[in-house]
Amino acid sequence: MYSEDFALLGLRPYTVKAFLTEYAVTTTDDATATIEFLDPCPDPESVVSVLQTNPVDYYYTA
Amino acid sequence: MFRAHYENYSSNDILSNIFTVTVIDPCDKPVSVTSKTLTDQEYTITQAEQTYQVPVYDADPVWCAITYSYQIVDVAGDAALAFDSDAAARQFAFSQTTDLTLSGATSKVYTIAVKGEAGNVVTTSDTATFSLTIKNPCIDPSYVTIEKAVLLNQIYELHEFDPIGFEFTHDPFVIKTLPFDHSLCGSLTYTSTFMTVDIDETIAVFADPMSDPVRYD
Repeated sequence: MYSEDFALLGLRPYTVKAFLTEYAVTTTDDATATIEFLDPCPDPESVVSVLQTNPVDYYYTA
Repeated sequence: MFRAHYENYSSNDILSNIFTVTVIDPCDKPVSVTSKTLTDQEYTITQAEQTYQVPVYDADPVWCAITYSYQIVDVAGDAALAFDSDAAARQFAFSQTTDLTLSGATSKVYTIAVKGEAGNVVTTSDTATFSLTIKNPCIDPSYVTIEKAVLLNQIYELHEFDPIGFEFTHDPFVIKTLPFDHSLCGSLTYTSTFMTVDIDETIAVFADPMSDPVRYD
């Protein structure tokens, strides 16, 4: 499983069922559970600064 | 032979010619044998042995012994039955625990003819038939069911597990069989959905990180 789709945030259902390969009429009903998609931004793993080259001077006067 | 004479002059007699009296057993050539209506039978492979007793046929004269025999149209069905032809038993026993070809994918019908025959010298007989339906247990929930596993809820944070993806498994579903454990019905095929849509097992979840987020093997 992999996604970058923020539209998935929240609980999403998934199911699995099985049947006899040679006798498909013999089957189960769905086993169900959920996948909770979380937003990674509230707890980012790291922030990487970008090396600045000859930045423009900035002056601050109180 | 016999001798005839005057009652008061016994010496004045005469002997008859020799003649023969033959005592005939009526069962040497009975009048008839009449069969009875037989009841159709069903048997499911792996089921415990099931028996069926053929009703007594009628002989004329009634005391003539009847011998019983059977024929099955498709001899393959013989592998699922035995017949005790003793006149007091007249019993079929149906049993088969391994060969699903006898039932095919669902069931097969076998026609069985039971003949009753009487006559020590000249025989007479009558035949009745019944059908034996041999059924496949793999499509009957009385014999085969699938016990599903419990799926666990999962938590996934977007962007995580790049580039291998987040993987999890579930316990296998289990095939339950009665009245004993067997594997005659073969293996299981699994299918899965995500958000009610069937999951294609060929999905490449990294092909587009904005769609098809889940693959199921």
